[in-house]
Amino acid sequence: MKREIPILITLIFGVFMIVQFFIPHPAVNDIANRLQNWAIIVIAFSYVLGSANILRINGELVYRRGPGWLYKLVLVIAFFMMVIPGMFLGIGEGTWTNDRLFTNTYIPLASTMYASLAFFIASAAFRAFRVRTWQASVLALTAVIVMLGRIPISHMIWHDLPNVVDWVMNVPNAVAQRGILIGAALGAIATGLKVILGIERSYLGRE
Amino acid sequence: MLLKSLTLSVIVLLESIAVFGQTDTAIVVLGQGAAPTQVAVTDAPNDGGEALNVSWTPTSQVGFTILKYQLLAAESAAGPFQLMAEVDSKTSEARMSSGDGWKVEPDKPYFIKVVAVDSTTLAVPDSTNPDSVTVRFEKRLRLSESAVVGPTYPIASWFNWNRLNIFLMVMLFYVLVMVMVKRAKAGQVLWFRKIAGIDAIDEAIGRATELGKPVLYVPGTQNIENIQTIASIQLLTSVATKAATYDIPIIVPLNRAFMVTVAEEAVKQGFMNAGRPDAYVRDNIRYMSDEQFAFTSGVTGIMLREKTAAHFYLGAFFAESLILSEVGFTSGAIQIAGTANTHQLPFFVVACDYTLIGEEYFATSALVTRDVEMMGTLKATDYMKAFIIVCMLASMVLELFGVQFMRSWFQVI
Repeated sequence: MKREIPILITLIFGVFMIVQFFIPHPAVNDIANRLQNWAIIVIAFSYVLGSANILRINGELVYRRGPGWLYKLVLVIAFFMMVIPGMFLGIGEGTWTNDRLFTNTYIPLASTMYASLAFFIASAAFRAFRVRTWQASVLALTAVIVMLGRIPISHMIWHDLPNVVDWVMNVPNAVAQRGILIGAALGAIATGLKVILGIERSYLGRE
Repeated sequence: MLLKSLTLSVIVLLESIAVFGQTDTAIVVLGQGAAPTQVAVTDAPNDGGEALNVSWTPTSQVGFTILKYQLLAAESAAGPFQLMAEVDSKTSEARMSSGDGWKVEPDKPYFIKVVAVDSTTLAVPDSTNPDSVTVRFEKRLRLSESAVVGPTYPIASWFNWNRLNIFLMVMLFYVLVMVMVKRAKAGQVLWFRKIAGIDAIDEAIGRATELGKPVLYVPGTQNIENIQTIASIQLLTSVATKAATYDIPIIVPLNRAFMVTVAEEAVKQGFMNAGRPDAYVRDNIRYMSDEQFAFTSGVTGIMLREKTAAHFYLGAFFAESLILSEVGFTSGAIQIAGTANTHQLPFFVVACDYTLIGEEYFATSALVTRDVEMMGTLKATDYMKAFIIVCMLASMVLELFGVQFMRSWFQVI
């Protein structure tokens, strides 16, 4: 029964959510909206679990001076610095927590991380465009054409270059992407069906 | 009474026009010549009773340059009428649904009128000099209202016939899954092509074993409601089983708090499958942060500090994909990625040793576990793909002969 009841619940609600896609009647839609709200509430409660996980793992390492304990200490302090003022001062715009800690501290750090992506792209492109096989040559040549076609003076190199690049992006590139998408969409539907029909049960944990 | 209702209409229209900010003058006059005729209001089909379709015939009289049409609705014939939609002058039909502060609801009566807006030039006495007989010419908007039509009742539909195509495809797929699962259970041998990335899972765990370093498994950055995450959790159990077999720790950093329990259960199951429940370390399932780049820094920190030797990136990824895989590459780990997010695939292909592309990623759990029911489902997916390819080819041939029904049939609304 420990496994049958969750599988039954998954089946009922899974089938209901598929069916409601085809039934626009408010009687059905209202229930679907309510179910989605339940999911949001359950997910909201999971943050308690997440916080406990962070504190347990990192707190323990700090306590027994494990490897990298100093980093963990910074993490735990940062955690409390965000949580405690957030609880008492609020987290909306204009509050100290939001403006000082999130907008002025976290967001610049995240932006820095995001900006480093440019360098990672450069190093990855360097490896990808090394001409060693004929496939790599085609890739490198196409990449050079697309890059040249995307720069502001591309039409000065050759007036039809932007059109060539548009064709590369809209025809061969789009075709390949759509092929992958169709396969992935079917795989996603199959995975959903496996879960709803109880074929896939790994999400239930221990047998 | 008539004067009062006219004044009220003018005020309502003035407010409506002011809200939409499309006046060339704030003053309007009422006219009749340009009023639309044959206004027809019907229930919009295939919806939850939240819209009405309105059509009309523009005036046949000459000399009017219509700027736009306004659709007004009220719950009684006497009003007050509320502006529900505005359409350009070339249109003669519109869909009217709920707007700001006004809701179209099923089984309620609605009275509709269509207003044609054009501009006219009026001669206005010069008010600055009462003794003068001179006039000024001013441009003003002229509103010509149709007759009020109604009541019309929006009806909530019990089936969206526009989605019949999707419904039939889902049913076909369901039947295929059932048939193929039955065949697989009956012992029919199902053939699948070899996927290099799947064989590489053993290779990666073997490398980690040789080096005596942990395995890192990132199940994407989305929550459990994402189908890619569900597929990743299936794989996590298999990877954890293999890691436990070789007595290698597996670290699972998580981007969503909700995933903590799910990942803990999946890994625990894997260790139990391998007969090593004692080797399971709960602290290796680590919730990092919901924030994308905080999570990314945390994971790259694990790679560099704990020297993980095999990295699995399986799930839904976004901008963090290249950062993770490039840092993993520089750390010298063997890397296997899989995602259905097509925009991240090139990054993984470049930086990882093996990449499971789109459908391969969803097929992996069946091919790793060799579970007959899952293999049956996978075969059904292959047949469905073949059916879609046949439909596409047939559609191409039919298009060449000018027959377009398949293209329109496959359009999703």
